[in-house]
Amino acid sequence: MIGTILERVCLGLRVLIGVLTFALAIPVAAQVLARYTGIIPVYLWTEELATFIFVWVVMIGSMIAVWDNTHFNVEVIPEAKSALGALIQQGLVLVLIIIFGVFFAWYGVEYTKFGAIQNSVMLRANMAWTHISVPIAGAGWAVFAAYRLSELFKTYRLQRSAAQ
Amino acid sequence: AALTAITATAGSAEITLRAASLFDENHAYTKTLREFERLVGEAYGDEISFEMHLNGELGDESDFVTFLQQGVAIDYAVMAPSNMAVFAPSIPLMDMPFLFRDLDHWNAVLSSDVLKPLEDKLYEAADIKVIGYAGGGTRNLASAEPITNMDELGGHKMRVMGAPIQAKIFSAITAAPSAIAYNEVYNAIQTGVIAGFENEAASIQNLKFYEVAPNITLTKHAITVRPLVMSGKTFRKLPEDLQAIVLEAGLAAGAAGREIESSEDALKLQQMADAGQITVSEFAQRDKLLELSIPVQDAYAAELGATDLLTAIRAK
Amino acid sequence: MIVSTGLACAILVGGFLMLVILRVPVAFALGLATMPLVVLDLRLTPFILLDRMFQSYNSFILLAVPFFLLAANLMNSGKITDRLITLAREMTGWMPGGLGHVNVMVSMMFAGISGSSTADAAGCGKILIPAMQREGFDTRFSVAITACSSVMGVIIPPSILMVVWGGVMQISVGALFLAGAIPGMLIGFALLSTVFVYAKVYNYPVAGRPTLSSFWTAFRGSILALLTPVFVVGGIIGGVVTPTESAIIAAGYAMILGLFVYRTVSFRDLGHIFYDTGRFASISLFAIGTATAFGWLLAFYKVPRLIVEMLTQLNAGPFETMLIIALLFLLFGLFIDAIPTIIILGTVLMPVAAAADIHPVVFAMIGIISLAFGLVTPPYGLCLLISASIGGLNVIQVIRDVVIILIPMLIILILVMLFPEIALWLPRMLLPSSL
Ligand code: NA
Ligand code: NA
Repeated sequence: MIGTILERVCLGLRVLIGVLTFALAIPVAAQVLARYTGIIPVYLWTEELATFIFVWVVMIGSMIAVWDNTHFNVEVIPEAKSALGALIQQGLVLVLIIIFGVFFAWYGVEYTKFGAIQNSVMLRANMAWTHISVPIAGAGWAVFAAYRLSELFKTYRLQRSAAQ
Repeated sequence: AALTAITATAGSAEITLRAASLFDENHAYTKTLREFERLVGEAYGDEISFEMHLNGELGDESDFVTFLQQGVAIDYAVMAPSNMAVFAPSIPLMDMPFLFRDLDHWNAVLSSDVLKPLEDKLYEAADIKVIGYAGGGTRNLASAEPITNMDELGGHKMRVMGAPIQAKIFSAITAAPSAIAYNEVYNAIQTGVIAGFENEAASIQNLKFYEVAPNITLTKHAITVRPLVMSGKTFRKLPEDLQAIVLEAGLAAGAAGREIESSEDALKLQQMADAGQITVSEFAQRDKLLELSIPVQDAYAAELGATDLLTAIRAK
Repeated sequence: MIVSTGLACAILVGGFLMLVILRVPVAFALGLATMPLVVLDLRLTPFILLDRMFQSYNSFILLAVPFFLLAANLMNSGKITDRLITLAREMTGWMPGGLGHVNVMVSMMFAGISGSSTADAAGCGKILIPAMQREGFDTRFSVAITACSSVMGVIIPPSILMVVWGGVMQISVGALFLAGAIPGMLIGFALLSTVFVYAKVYNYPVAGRPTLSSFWTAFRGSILALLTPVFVVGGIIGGVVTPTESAIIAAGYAMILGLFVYRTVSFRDLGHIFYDTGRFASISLFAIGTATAFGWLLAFYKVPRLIVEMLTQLNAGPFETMLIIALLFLLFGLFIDAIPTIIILGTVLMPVAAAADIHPVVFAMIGIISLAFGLVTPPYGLCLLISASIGGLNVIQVIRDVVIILIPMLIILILVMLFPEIALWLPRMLLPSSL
């Protein structure tokens, strides 16, 4: 049940990051075009818009990668063979990601408030719209990692009961 | 929590104040900060010490604004007003192009309290306290090809600073302001994406912009105002006697900084000219530029509800 | 408390290494290692960690990363990579160790089109590693040569790293692009020689003999793709676009090729390509963010300045200084991504290089080549991680081959230090105003 919901959420994020990556090209292309054609009356807002989209792309991508477990890690010590070993090894990593996520979500609220007292210079957009990506990403990592952790426990229990 | 009271031995509490500069020891802003250290140290004695991060190792000026607003990592810095525009859009008004008639006018404004409304606005919106005014660089056009009259200026593709008023004024004087990030300016001029930009002598010299834009046109469109600012969070934590010392030292250090930079500015132009790095020329119709920019300034001040302030500055 | 520099260093570096050993993803390890300091030190707050990370994305130059990746993904999805492989097979497949040479050759061509090494490792690796396995090459060698040859991606123009370097340190990106061409190709030849020696020792097979007509077909099939660097480098030198914007030219050109010329990409595919690009770009960019926060803390504790002070006291000559610079970049490259290293270390070393009379372009080439090698050195070498995962191997299993293959490449790096003209000759010919 929760797994299905989270899968859906992640699908939504996937669609969003695809659209945003496409959208990223627009202000940059507009910047080049404006310089040569003068069609778009720009006062440097292209750069601002591009970086706003950029921040969101990175934050959304980081959440998807926690769900997919595709953040790069380094395999210095060998993979644990036993069921308990795997539980400890992978569980520890997930717990640490949860800690980092909660840290970001918690202090991200302050960070969003800090954004809310600022308006971007060109677009006069309230900066909370971008700063809020920080606590959202933090919460995303924490929730996704927590679900993966619960799955890990499930697998461990199944393996243990199968062994008995 | 940038300000730290280390409870030292024998019950005496020592205060450390931290600053950051984008530049090395030779730059006027760093010298201003050092002068502030000296003045405060002399007045307050051994219970205070100072630390400084140079060469932008902690970030650029917009990062310093963030740190000061939060009261983290550093306590005070010198910076361009445009960096604080995210908190209060009226701040860049204090050194918008063609605001000051000449150095005397500029000095008169900064030695008075005419900018008080902007200071209050900044303190309220960003919790950053202006304690003095440095600056004094004269901004001129720098371009790959010479720009000496209105004809050559017409449609001149140039990079301007990231504040709407900058783009508006340079449009008004018939140039074509362009969107280029500051750290792409060098490459953009070199390859001809843009034809020039505007800046002060120190930056042109330090960042070697003369290599790509050796033609300096003395439009003298701006004399820089660089507030010496302290985090409100730091300032309120200081003992009352030290607060007074800080305010006094801020004013004096700012004035000293202005003296240093405004005299260095002409010197630096001369150095570059002597070294054959730049060619300096006058702009034939500077009056025309003023005339074109005044309506834009008026409209901008009206939009910000700062018409009285603009009138007061002009009247100084 | 006020944390001392020594303790801060121990927490940052020690914490990071420990977390990496525990298999925490590198991006999170960098962030987690900074947590104790921002909480403990009175001068700092957790805010700083969030802000430094967030602000690192607030940089127009970094937009080159997704766009160059987009160009590479379009090439991979549009089967342009396959065409390049066909051409490379015609050119070098007949030599002993055929597919190994093909692997190097195609990376050299791919490098001229893409500014990203990781896309090369992923795109070419997916096709060539299984092919090499089938033809009896040792998987460890296949993975290692794929990873090592992909580093040319950021040395041969265009290059994401050069865009960032030029922007951060105010030197001509056009000059850097031109300077990278010859050292990049020399590294390619060094790799081809290594493959040759491997083929002799392990008796690896050839991959077919070309005829003039098959070569011509292959050449015609990929010539349009091979023209990409002309547009990208030409667009910059000709003043049409800024270096960051040039990345969008590369992507736009690859898109036109895939959609309209070769018709190997459909509009339906584009959705997937944009998704893949965004997802992959954000994984490396996320790591750039935490690495930037990590680097900021090092700067806050004045670690880089201490390093520089030690270096200036050594009073070394130009060559010794270059060696030290390369070693430092190689050392940083072991642990963090190239882009934050440029920001953290490059800016600090610039005055050191200037004091030793090293030409800024040469300094840049030494830095970029050393950082490119960092892409294949564990613990954090993205290209090695990608190729190893394609080959189904653990990074530890391929270290030996990576080291062997890296040695001739390191010799090229030393040659660039001894004879800076290798880097300077081409820009001096084509873009003398920039030097
Ligand atoms: Na390349
Ligand atoms: Na390859």
